[in-house]
Amino acid sequence: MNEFAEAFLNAEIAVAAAPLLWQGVVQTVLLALLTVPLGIAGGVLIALLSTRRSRWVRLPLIAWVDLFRAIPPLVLLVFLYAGLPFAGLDLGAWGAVALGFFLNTGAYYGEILRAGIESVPRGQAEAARALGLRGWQVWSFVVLPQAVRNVLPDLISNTLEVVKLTSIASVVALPELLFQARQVQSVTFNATPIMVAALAYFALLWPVVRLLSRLENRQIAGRR
Amino acid sequence: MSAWDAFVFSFFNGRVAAEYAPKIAEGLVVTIALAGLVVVSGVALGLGLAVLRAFGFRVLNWGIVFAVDLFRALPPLVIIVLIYFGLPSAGIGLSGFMATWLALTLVLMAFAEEIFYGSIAAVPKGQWEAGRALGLRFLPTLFRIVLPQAIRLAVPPLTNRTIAITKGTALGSVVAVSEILGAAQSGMAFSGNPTPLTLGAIAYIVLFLPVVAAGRWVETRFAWRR
Amino acid sequence: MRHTRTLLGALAGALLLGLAGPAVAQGQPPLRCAVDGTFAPHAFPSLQGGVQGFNVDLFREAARRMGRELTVDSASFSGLIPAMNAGRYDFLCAPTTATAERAQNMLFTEGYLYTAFQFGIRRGSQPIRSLDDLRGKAISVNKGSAYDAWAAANADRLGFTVQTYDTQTDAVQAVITGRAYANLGGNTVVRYAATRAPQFVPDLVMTDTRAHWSAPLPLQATALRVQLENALECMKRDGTIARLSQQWFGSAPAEDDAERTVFPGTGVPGLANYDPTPREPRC
Repeated sequence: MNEFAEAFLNAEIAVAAAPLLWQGVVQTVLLALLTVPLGIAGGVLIALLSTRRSRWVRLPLIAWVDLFRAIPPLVLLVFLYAGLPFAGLDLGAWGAVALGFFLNTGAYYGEILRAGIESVPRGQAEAARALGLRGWQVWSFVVLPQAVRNVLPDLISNTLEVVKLTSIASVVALPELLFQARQVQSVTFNATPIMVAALAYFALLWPVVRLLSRLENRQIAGRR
Repeated sequence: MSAWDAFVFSFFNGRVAAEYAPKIAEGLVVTIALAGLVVVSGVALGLGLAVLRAFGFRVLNWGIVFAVDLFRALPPLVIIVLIYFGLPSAGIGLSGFMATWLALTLVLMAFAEEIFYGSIAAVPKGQWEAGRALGLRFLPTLFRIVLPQAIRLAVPPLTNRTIAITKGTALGSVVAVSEILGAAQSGMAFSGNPTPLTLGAIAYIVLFLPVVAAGRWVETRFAWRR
Repeated sequence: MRHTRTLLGALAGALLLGLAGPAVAQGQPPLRCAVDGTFAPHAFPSLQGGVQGFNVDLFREAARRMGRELTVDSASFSGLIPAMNAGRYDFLCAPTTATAERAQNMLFTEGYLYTAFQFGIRRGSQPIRSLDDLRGKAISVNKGSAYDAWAAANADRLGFTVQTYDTQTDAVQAVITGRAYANLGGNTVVRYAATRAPQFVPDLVMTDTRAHWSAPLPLQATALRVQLENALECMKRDGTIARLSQQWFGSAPAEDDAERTVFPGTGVPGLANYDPTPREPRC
């Protein structure tokens, strides 16, 4: 038991690691503030395109979305970071993460928003037009707000996944929370830094999980 | 060398591809085995916990809810690293394959429990009462009337979640599992050429694109008609 | 982050070596190099932030003598050579074993250290007396390293299995936690890990594997290779490398060690892309 505490919750190492881990928390938050809006932007783009009737838009779009849902995000990230420079395109760690999340999480947000838009009755848009609203006004004031409300739990759930996913940026040496924890671990040969990082993730994300759990139960009940 | 030739030389280099294709193929087998095990154990455990929770023992349910919250809040990569590098000091040394399997199983278990339990709760009260009226006890009502309906409700959300978590097998490359990504990275390091990574990406697409497409079909097929 | 690292490194370098010689030239872009930042004592994180170690000090001083600034990135070793070939780095500051296979695809400076392959085992394990003792065991290596290549090539013949890890530290931890029987790495690294992790002990050295640790450059960078090698040779002559070696590895190198030997020509004698044209170091 003592050896266990020594290896998992070594106070001395936790204190020594604290400044680096705090830097990691800050980077993780910044990373989330970058990747979530990028993913949503990609998603809105996909959702708007998917309302087109033309088969020449819809089929390539489905292929695009499924392609980026099929490739594991870590593989995509490694490819963008380590592979693309061979084509003369060096994005750096931040650039590779930004593009990777735009492509991967954009596909997921896109699917969710598409379902949201489809859930808004056509009559809503028609009524708005009849009242004299322009096309973009119909979208931004009538359709999208209702669409977002209808799929809100899915949107929050996906956002939670995106924030968790930022941990893979450690693999391309972006100094976020997990990366810093692994750095300290490599100097101390001790799992305490990883344990502290895990606690930090849990403290940050547990409230979101609780909220979601409530929203989702309501949603499933409402699906019948 | 033209730009196009340079591109082909880098990403679709026949010599490098021929050399590392067998390694990637071995990685593909590992990925498929790992993914299959995760799906079976994660969904089974999730269903088991959901049924257990339906019995309504308060203290037990607190434990289940906490475990579910925990594995929904932690990034899978963090769980894998913690199991692999942390648990040995508690006397439990799992291989990279086992650690990845366990970590992804726990994550899928958490999501599956949430979805199954939500679905059980969503089956109308009248169904329970009808079971009672027919003289069935709690267990037969649960297993023969409520669960079949709940599972049908659970299929669409569970399918997509399962696919997303199964792709996490790539994270095993961090703990020395020579699945597709691990094999591709080693190949890239030895050859100084990203073609093995191209092969790896293609292997994932071949493996998961049909699954994603099937998930799309399941979503529409099983959707509850209003 | 990279800026603090650069700054700290520059400060450390200045303190260690004393400032003399040419000021940093204006107008030239900084040289970009990379290390595997979990490879103590050559390059490893400091808990105060930044990366430190023998190779960091070595190449900061070399760059200073070339009149250039230097940025040092830190990433997984398996990604470094591909990234250099792709143009992200001008050369690698990470200790890199000059092998015949690699020398086909990149340039090497002459070696600044000799490295030998050494095993490390868990304290209390049966020591390795010969390679035959490895039959049926698991060997852990750093992904993409020369040790990885050797292990992959000899696994079937000697009957062991290979575990490859993103970092050398993870490979050492695999031994400490009993997942692998032995770690195969460079002698300086294995010995250093043993000073930090009491359950890890250095074991068999493969004496026939002595090789140069040198800086790789892309195939076309012939001019930069001459400049870099010239700076390294000057640092051998005035005892700078020997001093760093003493500081980071804890023992002074012998007279015939690579730290004190200026090799003829440019590159690693005997390997591909070695240029035998005689060249006097200009310091």
